Order: sequence, then structure tokens, then C-alpha cells
Amino acid sequence: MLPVALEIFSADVLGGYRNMLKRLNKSKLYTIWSLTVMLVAFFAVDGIIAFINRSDEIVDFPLDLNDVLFLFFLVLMGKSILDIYHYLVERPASVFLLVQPSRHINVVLGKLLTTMVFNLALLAFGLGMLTAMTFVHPFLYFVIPPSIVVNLILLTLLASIVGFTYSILSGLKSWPRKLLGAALFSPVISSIYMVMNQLRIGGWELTNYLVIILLISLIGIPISSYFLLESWNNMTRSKATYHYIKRKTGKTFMASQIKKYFGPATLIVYDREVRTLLRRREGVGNAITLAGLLIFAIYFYNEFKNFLDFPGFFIQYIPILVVGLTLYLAIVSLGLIPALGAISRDGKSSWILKTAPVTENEIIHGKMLAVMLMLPFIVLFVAIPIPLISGLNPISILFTSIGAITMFFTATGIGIWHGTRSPNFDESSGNAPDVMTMYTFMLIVLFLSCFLLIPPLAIAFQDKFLGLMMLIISWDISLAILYFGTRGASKALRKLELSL
Amino acid sequence: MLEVRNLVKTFGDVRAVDDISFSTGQGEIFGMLGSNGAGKTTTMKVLACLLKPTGGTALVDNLDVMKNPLEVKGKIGYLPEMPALFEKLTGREFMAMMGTLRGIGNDVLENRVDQYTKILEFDDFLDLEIGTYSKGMRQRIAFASSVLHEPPILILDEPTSGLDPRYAKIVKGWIRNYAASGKTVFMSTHVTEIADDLCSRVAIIHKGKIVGLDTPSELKNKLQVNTLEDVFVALVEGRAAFGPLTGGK
Repeated sequence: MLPVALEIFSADVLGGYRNMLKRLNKSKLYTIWSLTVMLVAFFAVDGIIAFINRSDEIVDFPLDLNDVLFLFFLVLMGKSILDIYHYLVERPASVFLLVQPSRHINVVLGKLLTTMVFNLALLAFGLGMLTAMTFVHPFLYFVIPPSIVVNLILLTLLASIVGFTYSILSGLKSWPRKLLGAALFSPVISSIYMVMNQLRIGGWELTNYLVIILLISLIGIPISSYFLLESWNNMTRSKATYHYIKRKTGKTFMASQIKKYFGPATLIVYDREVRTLLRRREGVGNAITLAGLLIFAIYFYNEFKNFLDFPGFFIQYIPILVVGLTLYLAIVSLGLIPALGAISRDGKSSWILKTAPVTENEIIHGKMLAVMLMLPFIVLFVAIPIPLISGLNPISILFTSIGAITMFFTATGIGIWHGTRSPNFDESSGNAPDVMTMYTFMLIVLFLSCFLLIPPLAIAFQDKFLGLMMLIISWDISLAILYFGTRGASKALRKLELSL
Repeated sequence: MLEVRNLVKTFGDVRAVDDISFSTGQGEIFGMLGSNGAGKTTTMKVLACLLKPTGGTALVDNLDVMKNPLEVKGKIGYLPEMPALFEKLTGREFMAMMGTLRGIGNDVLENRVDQYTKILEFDDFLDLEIGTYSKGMRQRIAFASSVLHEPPILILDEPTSGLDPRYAKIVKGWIRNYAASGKTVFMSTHVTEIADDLCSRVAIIHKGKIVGLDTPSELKNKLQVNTLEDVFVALVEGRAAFGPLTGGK
């Protein structure tokens, strides 16, 4: 049984290695920059851990080690769900594995091995980097207890198995089957939650429990094998969806304004982007993201508002931190990342717009306007309610709304510029911007947002009117970033050659 | 209408198109015949402004593809090989989009969509998402969308690929009529019977170079063979070579 699984695992490793080489060789300067950014990030994380380790003054820190470990498990589980969904369940090429004269459990074992090894490699890299950083400066020195390392390894294995199984179950034919499958396997996650968050077991005792839960979770392997074919068939078959045109393009007020100021070609591109967004149910995903961020903001504010035994002046910044962080996350996920993928998303169908007698400006404007569609929702559901929830006075809504627009323009401008300069047409990665690109531009957006928003905010603490005036100047700057970003994107699109 | 002079296109060390020259006239169906990887698609992509030539020139109706890409795109209809389409649009929406991008008014567009729906018989699935279409259905929609605006020049890469014999016949008949109305069709194929049947002149391309260019009958006469397939094999295997590659017309 094992050799078939190893064969599948080897193919995945070879593919992953070549993908990584391709990305590293794409631009050496960019690779060096990405590695530098990663080192700085690890340095910062190391510093935070060392500080918390040393700090006796912090009492009742709302997040303890078990919370962090559980969060680690959830993040890795989510990653595993997406990886398996993308590389096995939703992938037409999986047919070549499923038609082999070998039991499906071999496919499951092979793919599970890939997921586990890649996740463990990530963990090893993270721990290795943290350990290396501790030798940079005495302040950064701390020892990671062996029990924590072992627990992290067990949680990585658990997250891989649980994520894998849930990925298969989520592809089942009907919602009752999906829910039943998820419910039957939920005792595994419930056990982890209970042990870590309710019973607050830690150290080597936690290790014992995790080993037992890991052994129980292995039931996910035969479950996945049994449902793999059904899941794959369901996710790769064409589902007939009728759409009778209820309204023609250009009949709404917004459409008429776009046509008036940008032209009919931009309207057509925008219309197509919006229809695709809605039919791919990305709108639902965006709504869930916004809802999640709202919940996160409320939780974060409630947990952190009173915990720190710091001088009072820091306390007043907690609500601002809550608002800023939530806005940043909203803008990155609903603005920057879609902007980075604006051209890549078209993939092999890019020829359609490239061979049409429309200017690159018109194409970029259409895509940019589609990305901007999320801005009103961010203002309505994040920029306005969260300051009120965080106890800020109502005038702050004006600041947060303008601040949100400023950040969004900045993120969209640089995102669409880079996304067009360097599109990812690699279908094996889902045409999505690669992780290093996202990470780098998230940092750039963070930096620019701080640069544009912190000075007006600081002034606003002294003089609200002056602060507001400065904020409007920042808004103008972000508009300039958006303008030059789209112009740069148009130029890049003009130079883009499509040999797909 | 189309003119290619000493066209070169390289990808790194690979010379996909290696110094080729040809021209087409009005009302002509000009075929490019070659095996996979010969350079047909690359040549067409240069003419469709998807790729920039490494050397030489490519003119569409006397417009340089490098200097006047927008005008060039307004004069052509392009059908790629295995066309990837916008999966989440319906066939109707896709055709409407293509028509609008090419400046066709709503009334004319509606008539043309109806016309091609009848010719290629896709009314049953016109309002389904393209992602649900079979290979043949995609090819039909893509073909219709590429010719909707009735441009003076059509660039069709394997236009009958994926079509069953009935629709392949319909498409071939349509191409014949289109050229007869004074328009130019530049098409590629690796099926010799199609080239023999349809094309007034054929360029045989092998490893980026044109190894034969003339009418199908002249090519057969020169090599004293009966079929274009034999011509192709002889030229590609190097058992024959022609001198200046500007025969016919």
C-alpha cells in the first residue's frame, strides 16, 4: 500500500520545489527583499515573545499560551482545508489519481502526507527562525520549552488530518450530507477545544491528551477515502445555472455614471467583473469576512480595554488600535488582495480583453471600479460602527470614514499597479497572488497607512479641525496614489505579452 | 490585408517564428498548416497584438501591430486555439460583451446574436453559464463571438477544433461565404483535409520556418503527390524544398 502513497507524495514535493524555484528566480531582487521582510517580521515576533516572557508587570493578559496554541491549530487547519480543496478536491487533474488501479486510501495517504510534511516544514522553519533570532541579542533570548514544541508538532499533525477530512466532507453532494459529515467528525475539534480552552490543560499533560485525540482523529483517513470520489465528482462537475438577463448593462444610476465619466468599454469590463464576483459567491465570502471582522473587533476591544496596567495615556489608544487594526484587515482582504489579482484572475481568458479594441486605461478602470465596490460596505460596516462600539465619540466616525477611504485608495492603487506589472497566470496556484507578494504589499500598505493617518490623528488630539484638514490632505495623497497606480497599471498592461 | 515581413519571435533561446514572410489579399482564405509547436499560433498572436515581434514587421491592413495596436484590434476578429472564456458569464452575456466592446449598437447586436444562435444552434444553452459548456459548445460560442462584428480580417486558430462533423461543416461553409463577400480569413489548422478544402493558398510551417507556400493544387503538382497530407509530410521531413516561398496568387 505504501509505495503508491509515496509516489503521490514525491510528485507533490517535486512540483512544490519547482514552483518555489520559479518564484525565487522570477526576480532575485524581489526575493532578497522578501527574505529581508521575513527576517524583520521574525525579529519583531521574537521581540514580542521575549518581552512577554520577561514582563512581570503584565497581569491578566487576556491571551494565554493555550489560546495562542488553539489559534495556531485553527489557522493551520484552515490552511489545510484550502490546500486540499485546491490541490485535490476541486482539481480536474485529480482524475489521473482516481482512475488508477489502486484504492483511494492510497491517494488520501499520499496527499495527507504532503499536507503534513509541508505544514511540519513550515513549523520547523518558524521555530528555527525564532531560535536563530534569540542569539542576535541578549534581550531576545528565551527558551522554548520542549513540551510546547512537542504540542506544536502534535497540533500540526491534528490540523492536517482534521483540515483534510473537512475539505473532503465539504465537497459532498448536498448540504444535509455536508453538515452530517461535519457533525460526525466534530468531536475531534470539540475535544481539542475542551482540553485546551475549557480545561486549560498545559505542558506535558496536554501532550498526553493531544496524542489520544490524534489517534482518534485517524478515523478521518478511512472517512476521507470513502467520500473522496463523491466529493471530487461533485466539485468538478458543471452545475447548470441559468441566468436570464433581468436588466441590461447600463440601466442603473451607477452604471450610467460610469459610462458618462469612464466610457462604455469601462462599464462593460466593470459589469463583467461584478457579475463574476456575485456568481462566484465572492460577495458571500466578503460579507462573511466583514462580519468576522466586526466580531473580532468587538472581542478584541472587550478583552483588551482594561487589561494593561500601563499609564492611562496608553488606554486611550486601545479603541483607536481596535478601529485601525480592523480597518486594516478589512482593506487588505477586500481591497489589496483583489486589486493584486485583478489581471491574474482572468488567467487564460485574458486574451479576450487584450484583443478587444479598447484602451488599457479602460480595462484597468473597469477592474479598479469593481474592486472599489467594497469600499462603501467597509465604511458602513467597519468605519462607522466600530468607533461607536469602542466607545469613541461620534465625531471620530468622520475620521475613521475618511481614514478608511484613504487606506482603500492607497491599497487599490498599489495593488492594481503591482498586480498588472507582475500577474500570476499559474493555474496550479489558482492565479492568486503568491504569499510573499501579499505579505510584502500588506506591509507596504501598513507603512503607507501609518504615514498618511498617524500625523493627522496626532494633530486631531490637539485640534480636531486641524486634524481633519490634514486628513483630507492625506486623502488627496491617496487619490494621487490611486491615479498613478492605475496609470502605471495601464502602461504595464500595454507591455504585457500573453503567450498563454 | 495582412502582411508579414521577416517576422521573428523568440522566447528565450527558442525561436518560435524564424524569419517568415507572407501576405494575404482581400477575399482570400489563407491557411497556415503545421504540426503542434510549429509556430502557427505564435504568428497569429503577433497579428492579434498579444505578442510583440522580436524582429520583422507585421501589418494588418497596412497598420503596424506595434505602432497602431488599437486600430489593428478594431479591424480583426480573433479566435484562439482552445479559447478560454469568462466562465461565469452566460453565452448571451459573453456575446453581448464582445459586441459592445467592438462598438456594435444594441439593436444590431441583438439581431446578430439571434443570427448566429440560429446558424450554430446554441439557443438551448445561451443562458447557461459558460463554465457548464462542453468543448464543442465553447468553440461555437467563441467562434460566434469572434465574428460577431464582421471585421474585414478574421484570424482563426483551429476554427473547427472540438466541433463535431456537422458543425465543422457549418463553420467551413460560413468561412467560405465570408471570404466570398470580400473579407480576408487567415486560419491555421493541422488537419490537411481542411486546408485543402477551404484555403486558396496554404503556407506550411515547420519549426518556425515556412517550408512551402502556394495554392494546394500547385503544391501537389510540384511534388507530384495526390494529397496535401503527402505534401506536408514531404516538406516537413525535408524530402523536398521549394525555392522562394512566395508562390501562388
